[in-house]
Amino acid sequence: MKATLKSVFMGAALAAAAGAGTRQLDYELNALAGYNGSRAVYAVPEQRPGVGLDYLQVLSGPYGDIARIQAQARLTVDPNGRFEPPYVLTPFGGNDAPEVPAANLEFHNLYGQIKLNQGRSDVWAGRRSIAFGLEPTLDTHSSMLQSFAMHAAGFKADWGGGVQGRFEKWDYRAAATLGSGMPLAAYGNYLGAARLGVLDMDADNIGFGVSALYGRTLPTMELMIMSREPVARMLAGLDASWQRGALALRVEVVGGEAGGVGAGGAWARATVTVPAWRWLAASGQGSWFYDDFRAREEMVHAGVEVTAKYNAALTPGLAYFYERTAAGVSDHSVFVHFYYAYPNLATWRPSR
Amino acid sequence: MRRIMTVWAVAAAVWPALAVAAVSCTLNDPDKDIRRMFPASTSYKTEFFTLKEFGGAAAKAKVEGLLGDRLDDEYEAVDIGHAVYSVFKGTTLLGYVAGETQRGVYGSIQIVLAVNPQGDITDLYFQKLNLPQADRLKADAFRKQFIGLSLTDFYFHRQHYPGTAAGCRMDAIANPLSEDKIEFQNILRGMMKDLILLDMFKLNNAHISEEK
Repeated sequence: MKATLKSVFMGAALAAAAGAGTRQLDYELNALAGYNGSRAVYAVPEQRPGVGLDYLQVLSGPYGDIARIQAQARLTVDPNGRFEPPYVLTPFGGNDAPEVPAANLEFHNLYGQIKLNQGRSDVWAGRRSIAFGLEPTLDTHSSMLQSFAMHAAGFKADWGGGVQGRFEKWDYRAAATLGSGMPLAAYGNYLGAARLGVLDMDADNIGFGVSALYGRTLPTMELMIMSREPVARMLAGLDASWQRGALALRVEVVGGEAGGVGAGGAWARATVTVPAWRWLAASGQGSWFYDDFRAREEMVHAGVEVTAKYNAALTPGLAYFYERTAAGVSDHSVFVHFYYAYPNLATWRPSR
Repeated sequence: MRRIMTVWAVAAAVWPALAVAAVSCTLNDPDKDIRRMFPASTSYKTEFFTLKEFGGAAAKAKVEGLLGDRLDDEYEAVDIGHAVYSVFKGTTLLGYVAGETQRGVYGSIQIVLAVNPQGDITDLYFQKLNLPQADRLKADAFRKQFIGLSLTDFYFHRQHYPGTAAGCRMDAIANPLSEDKIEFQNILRGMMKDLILLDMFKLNNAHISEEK
């Protein structure tokens, strides 16, 4: 085993040094603006206006892939943010910012993965989706709607390392991470998470998963650290996904403890791609999360997103969000969203 | 503000140097899918190719000539990447796996073909297929009819379509979507495009040369 690992690492290093392998890169432009009451807002969780890149490098030897590197980075701006030094917040260093900064340098995915046993026990290090619930099976990078991980763990991706494998009818992933979300910060925080999946919605039209996480996570809001006091979390979850024709349904339930007291909730999403107008898709989701730790807070979120694909690169969309907190405060917001991703900036014509 | 401008300027300078094409159809789960299509395999190698690398407009014209149809200027552009997986058992090449995205009546269709080193189909499946009668196309009875066929068979069939010809092995393949001829033709087009590109990218134009 030791010799195998050594040869794999040496192969990866040699392949990287030689530039062997193949790569792809997309540019990304993200624009969104909306109203919350009578106030203009420019951000929802995980989405802000900005530019980004999505880079994948596959490192290969003569007879097979050895490793892969993926980087999804964004430089985002918030016109409502604080225009004072430091203007750009990065994941590195303490970010105890009480106010939203003017710009963020965000790493959504940034990891290297080494292939072992034909994909049965790949190991990775860096930042990627947490191994809990539907988050690792959903691509929410361009979506206004996010997964339930934002409630269960407080973030959808984390810094650390893990192992994952894929078999004919099941898959697994386990990770040991910092528990800090987007900032790379350690104040006694840590997180262990694992998910076992059976079947797969894409291949089998139906899939199930069981997950667990345990640790002490930092309360963070994207790059900002809201408190340096980690919160103990111990949660278990079940998820299911199903598709038939134009309709896809996903559900997730979690339960356990946060801050030493009870926490739990449920989330569901339905997505319809209109068959006659294949460029048009609509998703609606709702979630309820009870957090005894946060003064017996009960949160209800609902969101609807309609996207109309203009061409292979540009997808405009409209989104509506509803939020209600324990105090009975209701909040409504609407957004216009333009998401562009392509290898060049010249594709603006509509699809035929 | 100067710092932000500097970051943007550096990003703008670096991106074009790194830029390569978006990819038409990668496998959602290559580890699992390649093990299933080639049970004896021990590894695979991923590569991305574009028509631009193989001559650009001339390569596009060659593909269109064989296909008998125009390539979409946007979804099938010369700078769109095509993922090809070379599959090995140890150091022995077992074959290739490649997927292609094809426009369909009910949304895009993703067809994945496995071929042996000579380019004969050994397996196929639909990675994405939204039409209501998808089960008929996903059925073994339909998919297995294509095993052993190559680009030569598709080209021969295309030359005589909609008629039949003696020795045309594809004439025996019945449309399971009896009420939907357009979608069936879309699927055949997607398969043929996949075979043409595999021939160009990995088989040194072995079949394309035959058709000239």
